[in-house]
Amino acid sequence: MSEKTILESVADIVEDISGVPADQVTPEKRLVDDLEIDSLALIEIAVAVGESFRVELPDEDLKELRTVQDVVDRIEKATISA
Amino acid sequence: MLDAPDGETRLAAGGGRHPKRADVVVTGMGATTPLGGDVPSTWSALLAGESGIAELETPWAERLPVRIAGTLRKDPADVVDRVHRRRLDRSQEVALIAAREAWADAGAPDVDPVRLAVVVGTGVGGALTMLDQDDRLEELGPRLLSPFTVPRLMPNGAAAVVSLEMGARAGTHAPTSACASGAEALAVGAMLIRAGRADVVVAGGTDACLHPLSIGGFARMGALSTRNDTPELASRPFDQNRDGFVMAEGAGVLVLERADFAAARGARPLAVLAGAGVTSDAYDMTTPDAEGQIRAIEEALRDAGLGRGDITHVNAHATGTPTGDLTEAEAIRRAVGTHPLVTATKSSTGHLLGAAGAVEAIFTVLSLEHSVIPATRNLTEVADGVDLDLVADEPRQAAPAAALSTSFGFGGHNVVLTLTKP
Repeated sequence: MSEKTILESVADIVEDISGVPADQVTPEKRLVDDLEIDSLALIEIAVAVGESFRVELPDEDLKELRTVQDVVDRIEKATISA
Repeated sequence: MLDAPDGETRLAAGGGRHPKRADVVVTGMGATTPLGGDVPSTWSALLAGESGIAELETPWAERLPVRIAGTLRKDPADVVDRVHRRRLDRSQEVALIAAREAWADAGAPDVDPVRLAVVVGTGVGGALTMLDQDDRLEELGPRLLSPFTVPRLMPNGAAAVVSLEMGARAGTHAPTSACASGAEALAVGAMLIRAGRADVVVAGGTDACLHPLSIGGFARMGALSTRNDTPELASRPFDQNRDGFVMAEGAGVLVLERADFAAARGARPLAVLAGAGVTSDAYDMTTPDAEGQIRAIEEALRDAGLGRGDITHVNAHATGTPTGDLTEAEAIRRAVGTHPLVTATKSSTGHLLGAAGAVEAIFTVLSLEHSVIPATRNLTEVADGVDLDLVADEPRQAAPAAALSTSFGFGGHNVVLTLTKP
């Protein structure tokens, strides 16, 4: 799966759960500070991303995912190692 | 309850309301009910004599002894945006819809947030969330529970949702007194204004818990009508052949204001919330006691500075249960008399539980405003032991200046509101 596809999929999930338009979900954006996603929505997004890509995203790892790129990298790492 | 009663002297004086006490006026109203998605559509359907009760078209109803209910005429999904809905229980969605309508109807008062309070009562709270998430827990495990589970199920959730929407910072309250919750919210709202704690209060009630557990539970008590084959005829308050109430869902919200605050901003008062009586029976958990209801009516009159002769209309709680209607009929007859025009609007709406008191307060305000009293549906043979002037068949043209709205809840809660023309 190419990075673009992962990014697009993540953006769609973010829009679905938080209402932030997918075209604003760009790699450099910070989830909390830029996209204003609150902590509970972040948990839902993580679960949805995990389900979508069949990767484990433990709750304790969420604080390391500051930007959209962090999420994409995490998915790539998990899917390559899988 | 809203200030110290001074007993018979005030009644005898006829209108000797506390001279320094702030008047509380209603300046906006909102609702979503089985009759309509807002106040105007609900009111016109009520006056047209429509029923909001229908067969439940869902597979889970098939195994229940009761398969009828009053579901919302307008789906909240058509009104509340999809992302917001993920965070809300259905009872919170309907409270938000009603609150938005009420706020707009009041002209969106320009009030200091620290002088704006919210009081939204609920009988049951976020039961659908609790039950749905419990299903998820059992099927999928704890990690797939919604992180919004707790805010969606907590009984103060609806009040908090409205508080967030309105930016209300003078306090947010959530009275729970079963089917008196909506009326109690209005009583508490008036108390906050009279105590000087707020200038504007967004107050009402909400419940949306149609589910096999709630319907099954009420049915197990013998509280519900089992007229599954004739849903529109099932809710029959004060009728000889009534056999229980019909569950319904929805919300009603009113904007209450200190009268001089409303006047200063040029708001049009729809009615005066002139008094409230709140009592408890301490008699039985589910069987009502006429004595407790009578004390609530008398307190509502005393609080408003009115005598029983001043009351010319009563919107009765009257749910259609064999016992409840008889007890209330006795209480109204003894505490007010047989002269008021009485109607029981649950015959059309069904029983909105914690929203009922607020929705019926709205109907009472509209009766004062439009000089018309909606008819009680399905009242073909007045029950033995009911000696009241009941409005049946057709709405009655009448111009009440003062009216009562009664609400009673399991637990022995009695709340009576006195509403008058501005």
